Amino acid sequence: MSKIQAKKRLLYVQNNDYNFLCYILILTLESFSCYSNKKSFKDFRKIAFIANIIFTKSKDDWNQIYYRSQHTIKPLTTLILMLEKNGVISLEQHKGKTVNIWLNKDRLNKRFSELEMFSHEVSEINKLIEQEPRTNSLKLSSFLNRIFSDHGVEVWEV
Amino acid sequence: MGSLKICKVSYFGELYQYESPELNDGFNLIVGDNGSGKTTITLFIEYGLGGNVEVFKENKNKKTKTEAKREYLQVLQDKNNYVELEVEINNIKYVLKRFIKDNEIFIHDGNCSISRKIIRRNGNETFSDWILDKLDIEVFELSLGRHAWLIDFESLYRLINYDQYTENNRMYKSPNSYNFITDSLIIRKSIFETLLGRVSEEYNKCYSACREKDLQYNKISSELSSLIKLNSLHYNENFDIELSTQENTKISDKLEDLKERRKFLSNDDGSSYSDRQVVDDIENEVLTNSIKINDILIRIKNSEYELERVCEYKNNLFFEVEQLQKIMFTHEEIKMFDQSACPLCKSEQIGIEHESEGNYNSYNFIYSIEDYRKIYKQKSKKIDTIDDAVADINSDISNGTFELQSLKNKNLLLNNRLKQAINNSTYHKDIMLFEDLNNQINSLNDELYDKEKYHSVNLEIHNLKKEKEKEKHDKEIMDKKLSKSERNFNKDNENTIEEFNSIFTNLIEKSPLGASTATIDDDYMPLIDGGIYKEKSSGVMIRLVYYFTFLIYSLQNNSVKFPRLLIIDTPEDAGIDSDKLVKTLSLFEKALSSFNHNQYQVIITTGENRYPESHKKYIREKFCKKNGNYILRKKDTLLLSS
Repeated sequence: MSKIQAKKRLLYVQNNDYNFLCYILILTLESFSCYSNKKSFKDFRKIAFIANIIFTKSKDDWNQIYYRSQHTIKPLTTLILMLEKNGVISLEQHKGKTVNIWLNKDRLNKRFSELEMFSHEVSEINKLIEQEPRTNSLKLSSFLNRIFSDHGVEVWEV
Repeated sequence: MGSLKICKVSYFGELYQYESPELNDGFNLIVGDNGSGKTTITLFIEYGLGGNVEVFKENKNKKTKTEAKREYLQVLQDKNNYVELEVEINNIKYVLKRFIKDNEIFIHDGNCSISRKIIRRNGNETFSDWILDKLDIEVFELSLGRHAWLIDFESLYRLINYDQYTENNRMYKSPNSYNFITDSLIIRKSIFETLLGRVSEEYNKCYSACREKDLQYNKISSELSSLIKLNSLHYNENFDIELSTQENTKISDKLEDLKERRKFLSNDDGSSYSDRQVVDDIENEVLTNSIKINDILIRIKNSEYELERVCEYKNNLFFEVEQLQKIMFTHEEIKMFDQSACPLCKSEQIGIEHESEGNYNSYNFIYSIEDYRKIYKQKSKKIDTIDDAVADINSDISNGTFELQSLKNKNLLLNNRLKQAINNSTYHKDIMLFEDLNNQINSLNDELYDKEKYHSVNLEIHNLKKEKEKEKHDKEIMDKKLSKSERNFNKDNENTIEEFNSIFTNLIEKSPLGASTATIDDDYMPLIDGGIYKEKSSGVMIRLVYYFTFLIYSLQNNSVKFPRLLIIDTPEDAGIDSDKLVKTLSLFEKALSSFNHNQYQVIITTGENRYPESHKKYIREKFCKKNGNYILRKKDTLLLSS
């Protein structure tokens, strides 16, 4: 086993894994039907929080979820750049502040959300939609306030 | 033989003043018309002798409803006023001085002066005691039920002073404080007997003692009856002291015996020792077993908690493995991570190097499918290990449960054994015996208490009965003694009454009353012609005769204590004809003429021309209101006239 392989295995962080974030991102965009410029997902950073909410099975410690999510934003940024290069998603800078994204429907062969293996993730996202139906168009700060403040987490702007 | 004479009557005050002329032995006449002050002189005399004169009292609470309010205004309005009497008791001169509204009399016998209170207080000698002592009359006590009554001069004065206020058929001047005692028959009789000197000391003493015995007897019998009523439950008429005492001692003996047995039982504990040891051992075993059971229970609880946590971890791992499968699927599907080029810049370089160049501070590798598979394998292995751990914990728990069950069974067994051991032990039997003994002792104690109560109550009743009988016996003896002394006294008295009667009858016969027979009855009241009705005015004569009989009898007989003084205040009331009165008065003069006039004194106040011609020489004082010759003269007018 090479040194780099050992390093890879030791430093594997599943919730920050590109592929993990990737399928969460795709599932989220599919759930909100963000397929065009008009129906874009406003501010991709919210997906970092959604991913960590889904990743954590027992949701006892919302503080932990919040801080983990902060670390997830960086790999997520890299990921959306990669996916854009790959043509899976498109992105648009909105007023130089936030980055809105949407899914390029034709690029993928399957609709992920219809697959049996992602049923758990889909149900989690649906729960979120139930709690906050306008998740896709909310600003990051208001999203955080609505989701995390209710669980006693002190939220600040990232 | 005692004699009392009034020599001079004076009144001195700031406003008014009166000085009577010298009063002599024998008859003294004071003449005046209505309201000129004849009666005032007699009031002064009574007041000076310690009498309770109503009109000289300033009493705001006087009974004005039944009696007209009578106040002697001139006297009451005067200040620093006093009555002064010059008297002669058994030929010794005294000056008596009493201030109005005061209850003290100053006695001056020429050498020294003493003072005596009128009202008896704290057993001090009163004026009455003093004057009775001088008159040689013994003071004795009469007990009338709850009340005791001491004979005093004021009472005797009721037969010395003939006043206007008393109804004549009552004979005795009414007492100043009128009540059922002061006007009772026994007291009037006592006054009569005292004045006649027929008081039997022995009789009176017997009488008092009898009364006292009566009281005592009544007290004891009432005590006895109330005691019997209160203890009706225990009271037995046929109570036998001996038998009851025997019974009580029997019970106490039995009780003592039982107590001894109980003591013996409580000291003896050697035989039950081994039994107790067995019980103690079993108890200890049960205790240690229980501790063990508790320990095991704690262990099981801990294992269960651990199992829970491990299972949670395992579930998380499963979840991660599942995600990993999804990751691998996504990797295959998207195919964005081609090993040949960096997914960001699509250059030939491998992503890791690109990242490590400094775009990102943290490591964020790009994983190939191979890498994922290795991680997947590793995680699966972890799950296997955890499965082993779960199996271990489960076996631990089942072992603990088994052990627990066996210990519980053992404890059950031990408890049964313990029960058996306690039931079989002699110690247990001892307790039963002990309780039985205690119960017996308690019931015996109760019985003894009842019996003793019964005994004491009946004994008390028995003693009281005895005492009552003794008292009854004593009383009978005393009654006999009393009746004997009464008989003697009456016999002695009969002679006295006979003599008194003969004088009385003699006087009545000669009087203008025209009666044939006159006697004194058992209560010493006059009985004229067997009690037939006479005109009201006759009462005046009968009463006058009654009073004079005393005087005459006392002059005939030296042993009579009557002080040989009569004060007759205006007898001409009740419509008596003046000639009848004049005849009566001259009759008295005639009757007394046989005696030396220095042995007695009679003071009569009467109206103008209502006296016999022969009495003119006795006139000492003449009042006439019309001429301004009133008894009380203002000081300044007195000075002017003199």
